[in-house]
Amino acid sequence: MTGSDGMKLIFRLGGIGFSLPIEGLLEIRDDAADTLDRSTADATALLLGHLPGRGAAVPVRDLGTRLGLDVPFGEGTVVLVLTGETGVWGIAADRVEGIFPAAEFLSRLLPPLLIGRQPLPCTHCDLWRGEPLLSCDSGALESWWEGT
Amino acid sequence: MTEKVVLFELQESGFALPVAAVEHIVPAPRVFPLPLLRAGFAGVFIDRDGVVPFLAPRVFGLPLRPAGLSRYALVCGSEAGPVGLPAAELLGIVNRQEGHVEAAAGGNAAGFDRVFVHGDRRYALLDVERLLTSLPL
Repeated sequence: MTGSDGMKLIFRLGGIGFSLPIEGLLEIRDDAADTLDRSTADATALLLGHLPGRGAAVPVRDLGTRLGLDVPFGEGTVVLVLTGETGVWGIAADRVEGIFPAAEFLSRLLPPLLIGRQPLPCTHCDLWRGEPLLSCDSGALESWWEGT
Repeated sequence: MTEKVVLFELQESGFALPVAAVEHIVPAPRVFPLPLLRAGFAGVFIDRDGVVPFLAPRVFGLPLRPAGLSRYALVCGSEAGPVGLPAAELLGIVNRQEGHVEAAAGGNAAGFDRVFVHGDRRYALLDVERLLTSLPL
Protein backbone atom coordinates (compact mmCIF):
# COMPACT_ATOMS: atom_id res chain seq x y z
CA MET A 1 0.00 0.00 0.00
CA THR A 2 1.62 3.24 -1.10
CA GLY A 3 2.54 5.56 1.75
CA SER A 4 1.56 3.03 4.36
CA ASP A 5 5.06 2.16 5.48
CA GLY A 6 5.52 2.55 9.21
CA MET A 7 1.86 2.95 10.08
CA LYS A 8 0.00 1.07 12.77
CA LEU A 9 -3.67 0.64 13.42
CA ILE A 10 -4.98 0.67 16.97
CA PHE A 11 -8.08 -1.29 17.79
CA ARG A 12 -9.92 -2.04 21.02
CA LEU A 13 -11.38 -5.33 22.09
CA GLY A 14 -12.87 -6.04 25.50
CA GLY A 15 -11.18 -3.00 27.01
CA ILE A 16 -7.76 -4.07 25.75
CA GLY A 17 -5.82 -2.01 23.25
CA PHE A 18 -3.97 -3.61 20.35
CA SER A 19 -1.61 -2.25 17.73
CA LEU A 20 -1.33 -3.80 14.28
CA PRO A 21 1.00 -2.89 11.39
CA ILE A 22 -1.24 -2.11 8.46
CA GLU A 23 0.87 -4.12 6.00
CA GLY A 24 -1.24 -7.22 6.67
CA LEU A 25 -4.52 -5.33 6.79
CA LEU A 26 -6.74 -5.54 3.71
CA GLU A 27 -9.72 -3.56 4.86
CA ILE A 28 -11.81 -2.43 7.78
CA ARG A 29 -15.43 -3.54 7.61
CA ASP A 30 -17.72 -1.39 9.67
CA ASP A 31 -20.76 -2.97 8.05
CA ALA A 32 -20.14 -6.31 9.73
CA ALA A 33 -23.16 -6.12 11.99
CA ASP A 34 -25.41 -5.98 8.91
CA THR A 35 -23.53 -8.24 6.54
CA LEU A 36 -22.10 -11.04 8.68
CA ASP A 37 -23.56 -14.38 7.69
CA ARG A 38 -23.98 -16.09 11.02
CA SER A 39 -25.41 -19.27 9.54
CA THR A 40 -21.85 -20.54 9.28
CA ALA A 41 -20.93 -19.65 12.85
CA ASP A 42 -19.20 -22.36 14.85
CA ALA A 43 -18.66 -21.63 18.53
CA THR A 44 -16.33 -24.59 18.94
CA ALA A 45 -14.07 -23.27 16.21
CA LEU A 46 -14.49 -19.71 17.51
CA LEU A 47 -15.92 -18.75 14.15
CA LEU A 48 -18.45 -15.93 14.20
CA GLY A 49 -19.52 -16.42 10.60
CA HIS A 50 -18.51 -15.16 7.18
CA LEU A 51 -18.50 -11.78 5.53
CA PRO A 52 -19.07 -11.38 1.81
CA GLY A 53 -15.64 -10.61 0.44
CA ARG A 54 -13.62 -10.09 -2.65
CA GLY A 55 -14.52 -13.22 -4.56
CA ALA A 56 -14.76 -15.41 -1.51
CA ALA A 57 -16.45 -15.25 1.85
CA VAL A 58 -14.18 -14.07 4.64
CA PRO A 59 -14.21 -16.17 7.83
CA VAL A 60 -14.48 -13.98 10.91
CA ARG A 61 -12.74 -15.32 13.99
CA ASP A 62 -13.74 -14.61 17.56
CA LEU A 63 -10.45 -13.23 18.86
CA GLY A 64 -12.11 -11.90 21.98
CA THR A 65 -13.37 -15.25 23.18
CA ARG A 66 -10.05 -16.85 22.33
CA LEU A 67 -8.42 -14.30 24.64
CA GLY A 68 -10.90 -14.97 27.40
CA LEU A 69 -12.64 -11.62 26.99
CA ASP A 70 -16.39 -11.05 27.23
CA VAL A 71 -17.03 -9.33 23.93
CA PRO A 72 -20.44 -9.96 22.38
CA PHE A 73 -20.79 -9.21 18.68
CA GLY A 74 -22.95 -6.10 18.49
CA GLU A 75 -24.11 -3.25 16.35
CA GLY A 76 -20.84 -1.39 16.48
CA THR A 77 -18.55 -4.37 15.99
CA VAL A 78 -15.90 -3.82 13.35
CA VAL A 79 -14.13 -6.55 11.42
CA LEU A 80 -10.49 -6.18 10.46
CA VAL A 81 -9.83 -8.19 7.31
CA LEU A 82 -6.30 -9.54 7.34
CA THR A 83 -4.24 -11.46 4.85
CA GLY A 84 -1.97 -14.33 5.75
CA GLU A 85 -0.45 -17.57 4.56
CA THR A 86 -3.74 -19.41 4.90
CA GLY A 87 -5.67 -16.77 3.01
CA VAL A 88 -7.92 -13.90 3.95
CA TRP A 89 -9.58 -13.86 7.32
CA GLY A 90 -11.11 -11.40 9.74
CA ILE A 91 -11.13 -10.61 13.42
CA ALA A 92 -13.91 -8.80 15.26
CA ALA A 93 -13.04 -5.66 17.22
CA ASP A 94 -15.10 -3.32 19.35
CA ARG A 95 -13.78 -0.27 17.56
CA VAL A 96 -10.85 1.14 15.63
CA GLU A 97 -9.02 3.98 17.35
CA GLY A 98 -7.19 5.10 14.25
CA ILE A 99 -4.03 4.70 12.21
CA PHE A 100 -0.87 6.34 13.47
CA PRO A 101 2.78 6.64 12.47
CA ALA A 102 4.95 3.85 13.85
CA ALA A 103 7.23 6.50 15.32
CA GLU A 104 4.56 7.20 17.94
CA PHE A 105 4.97 3.71 19.39
CA LEU A 106 7.68 2.51 21.75
CA SER A 107 8.12 -1.25 21.60
CA ARG A 108 8.72 -3.15 24.82
CA LEU A 109 9.02 -6.86 25.52
CA LEU A 110 6.14 -8.22 27.55
CA PRO A 111 7.48 -9.28 30.96
CA PRO A 112 8.02 -13.05 31.01
CA LEU A 113 6.55 -13.09 34.52
CA LEU A 114 3.13 -12.49 33.02
CA ILE A 115 3.10 -15.50 30.75
CA GLY A 116 0.71 -18.17 31.96
CA ARG A 117 -0.34 -21.49 30.54
CA GLN A 118 -1.98 -19.88 27.52
CA PRO A 119 0.33 -17.81 25.35
CA LEU A 120 -0.59 -14.44 23.97
CA PRO A 121 -0.48 -13.80 20.22
CA CYS A 122 2.38 -11.39 20.74
CA THR A 123 5.63 -11.05 22.64
CA HIS A 124 5.79 -7.29 22.75
CA CYS A 125 3.62 -4.37 23.59
CA ASP A 126 3.68 -0.88 22.17
CA LEU A 127 3.68 2.04 24.57
CA TRP A 128 1.50 4.69 23.04
CA ARG A 129 0.46 7.90 24.77
CA GLY A 130 1.00 6.41 28.22
CA GLU A 131 -0.78 3.15 27.49
CA PRO A 132 0.49 -0.36 26.72
CA LEU A 133 -1.02 -1.90 23.60
CA LEU A 134 -0.58 -5.54 22.69
CA SER A 135 1.57 -5.44 19.59
CA CYS A 136 0.29 -7.93 17.05
CA ASP A 137 0.83 -8.51 13.37
CA SER A 138 -1.32 -10.52 11.01
CA GLY A 139 1.29 -13.26 10.58
CA ALA A 140 1.78 -13.79 14.29
CA LEU A 141 -1.97 -13.72 14.89
CA GLU A 142 -2.45 -16.33 12.22
CA SER A 143 0.27 -18.60 13.60
CA TRP A 144 -1.08 -18.25 17.11
CA TRP A 145 -4.60 -18.98 15.94
CA GLU A 146 -3.56 -22.03 13.95
CA GLY A 147 -1.78 -23.33 17.01
CA THR A 148 -4.94 -23.22 19.17
CA MET B 1 24.77 -0.85 57.42
CA THR B 2 21.58 -0.98 59.44
CA GLU B 3 18.95 -3.11 57.75
CA LYS B 4 15.73 -1.24 57.23
CA VAL B 5 12.19 -2.40 56.64
CA VAL B 6 9.39 -0.57 54.86
CA LEU B 7 5.98 -0.97 56.45
CA PHE B 8 2.83 -0.62 54.38
CA GLU B 9 -0.83 -1.39 54.50
CA LEU B 10 -3.25 -2.93 52.05
CA GLN B 11 -6.92 -3.48 52.87
CA GLU B 12 -6.17 -2.78 56.54
CA SER B 13 -3.56 -5.56 56.65
CA GLY B 14 0.01 -4.70 57.49
CA PHE B 15 3.02 -5.86 55.47
CA ALA B 16 6.75 -5.46 55.79
CA LEU B 17 9.41 -5.62 53.11
CA PRO B 18 13.18 -5.21 53.38
CA VAL B 19 14.05 -1.83 51.95
CA ALA B 20 16.80 -3.44 49.92
CA ALA B 21 14.11 -5.27 47.94
CA VAL B 22 12.37 -2.05 46.92
CA GLU B 23 13.81 -0.22 43.92
CA HIS B 24 11.42 2.71 44.11
CA ILE B 25 7.80 3.56 44.78
CA VAL B 26 5.31 4.73 42.17
CA PRO B 27 2.33 6.79 43.35
CA ALA B 28 -1.10 6.12 41.89
CA PRO B 29 -0.04 3.64 39.24
CA ARG B 30 -2.44 3.26 36.35
CA VAL B 31 -2.89 -0.48 36.01
CA PHE B 32 -3.88 -1.83 32.61
CA PRO B 33 -5.48 -5.26 32.37
CA LEU B 34 -4.18 -7.74 29.83
CA PRO B 35 -5.79 -10.96 28.61
CA LEU B 36 -4.62 -14.43 29.60
CA LEU B 37 -2.57 -13.10 32.45
CA ARG B 38 -0.78 -15.53 34.69
CA ALA B 39 -2.72 -16.03 37.90
CA GLY B 40 -1.74 -13.56 40.61
CA PHE B 41 -1.30 -10.53 38.40
CA ALA B 42 -3.82 -7.72 38.07
CA GLY B 43 -2.24 -6.20 34.99
CA VAL B 44 0.70 -3.98 34.13
CA PHE B 45 1.69 -0.38 34.63
CA ILE B 46 4.16 1.78 32.82
CA ASP B 47 7.19 2.86 34.82
CA ARG B 48 10.09 4.79 33.31
CA ASP B 49 9.17 3.65 29.79
CA GLY B 50 9.07 0.04 30.88
CA VAL B 51 6.19 -2.38 31.41
CA VAL B 52 5.98 -3.72 34.96
CA PRO B 53 3.69 -6.56 36.11
CA PHE B 54 1.42 -5.61 39.00
CA LEU B 55 0.53 -8.19 41.60
CA ALA B 56 -3.09 -8.65 42.62
CA PRO B 57 -4.03 -8.22 46.31
CA ARG B 58 -5.26 -11.81 46.45
CA VAL B 59 -1.61 -12.89 46.25
CA PHE B 60 -1.36 -11.61 49.79
CA GLY B 61 -4.38 -13.60 50.82
CA LEU B 62 -6.65 -10.59 50.59
CA PRO B 63 -10.12 -10.63 49.05
CA LEU B 64 -10.73 -9.29 45.59
CA ARG B 65 -11.87 -5.68 45.71
CA PRO B 66 -12.44 -3.07 43.02
CA ALA B 67 -9.35 -1.51 41.51
CA GLY B 68 -8.22 1.86 42.76
CA LEU B 69 -7.44 0.85 46.32
CA SER B 70 -3.72 0.62 45.58
CA ARG B 71 -2.43 4.12 45.95
CA TYR B 72 1.11 3.00 45.44
CA ALA B 73 3.14 0.41 43.64
CA LEU B 74 6.32 -0.76 45.33
CA VAL B 75 8.59 -1.65 42.45
CA CYS B 76 10.73 -4.56 43.54
CA GLY B 77 13.49 -6.33 41.72
CA SER B 78 13.37 -10.05 41.11
CA GLU B 79 15.27 -12.60 39.11
CA ALA B 80 12.55 -12.35 36.47
CA GLY B 81 12.59 -8.57 36.33
CA PRO B 82 10.81 -5.79 38.19
CA VAL B 83 7.40 -6.40 39.72
CA GLY B 84 4.95 -4.03 41.38
CA LEU B 85 3.43 -4.75 44.77
CA PRO B 86 0.22 -2.91 45.66
CA ALA B 87 0.05 -0.70 48.74
CA ALA B 88 -2.74 1.53 50.00
CA GLU B 89 -0.80 3.29 52.72
CA LEU B 90 2.91 3.68 53.35
CA LEU B 91 3.42 3.56 57.09
CA GLY B 92 7.12 4.27 57.22
CA ILE B 93 10.63 2.89 57.17
CA VAL B 94 12.07 1.51 60.37
CA ASN B 95 15.30 -0.13 61.44
CA ARG B 96 14.92 -3.87 61.63
CA GLN B 97 16.31 -3.79 65.15
CA GLU B 98 13.31 -1.74 66.23
CA GLY B 99 11.21 -4.85 65.96
CA HIS B 100 11.62 -8.57 65.87
CA VAL B 101 10.74 -11.40 63.51
CA GLU B 102 8.74 -14.41 64.52
CA ALA B 103 6.95 -17.24 62.79
CA ALA B 104 3.50 -16.41 61.46
CA ALA B 105 0.66 -18.15 63.18
CA GLY B 106 -1.68 -20.35 61.23
CA GLY B 107 0.46 -21.89 58.58
CA ASN B 108 3.29 -21.38 56.19
CA ALA B 109 1.89 -19.32 53.35
CA ALA B 110 4.44 -18.89 50.64
CA GLY B 111 5.98 -15.46 50.64
CA PHE B 112 5.07 -14.57 54.21
CA ASP B 113 5.55 -17.29 56.78
CA ARG B 114 7.09 -14.78 59.13
CA VAL B 115 5.88 -11.59 60.69
CA PHE B 116 7.75 -8.48 61.69
CA VAL B 117 6.52 -7.23 65.02
CA HIS B 118 6.91 -3.51 65.52
CA GLY B 119 5.26 -1.77 68.42
CA ASP B 120 1.93 -3.40 68.99
CA ARG B 121 1.39 -4.41 65.39
CA ARG B 122 2.33 -7.45 63.36
CA TYR B 123 3.28 -7.11 59.72
CA ALA B 124 3.49 -10.04 57.32
CA LEU B 125 7.15 -10.10 56.27
CA LEU B 126 7.31 -10.51 52.51
CA ASP B 127 9.91 -12.26 50.39
CA VAL B 128 9.37 -11.22 46.79
CA GLU B 129 11.13 -14.18 45.18
CA ARG B 130 9.18 -16.67 47.28
CA LEU B 131 5.99 -14.80 46.49
CA LEU B 132 6.61 -15.03 42.77
CA THR B 133 7.63 -18.67 42.78
CA SER B 134 4.47 -19.52 44.69
CA LEU B 135 2.30 -18.25 41.83
CA PRO B 136 0.77 -20.93 39.64
CA LEU B 137 1.56 -20.89 35.97
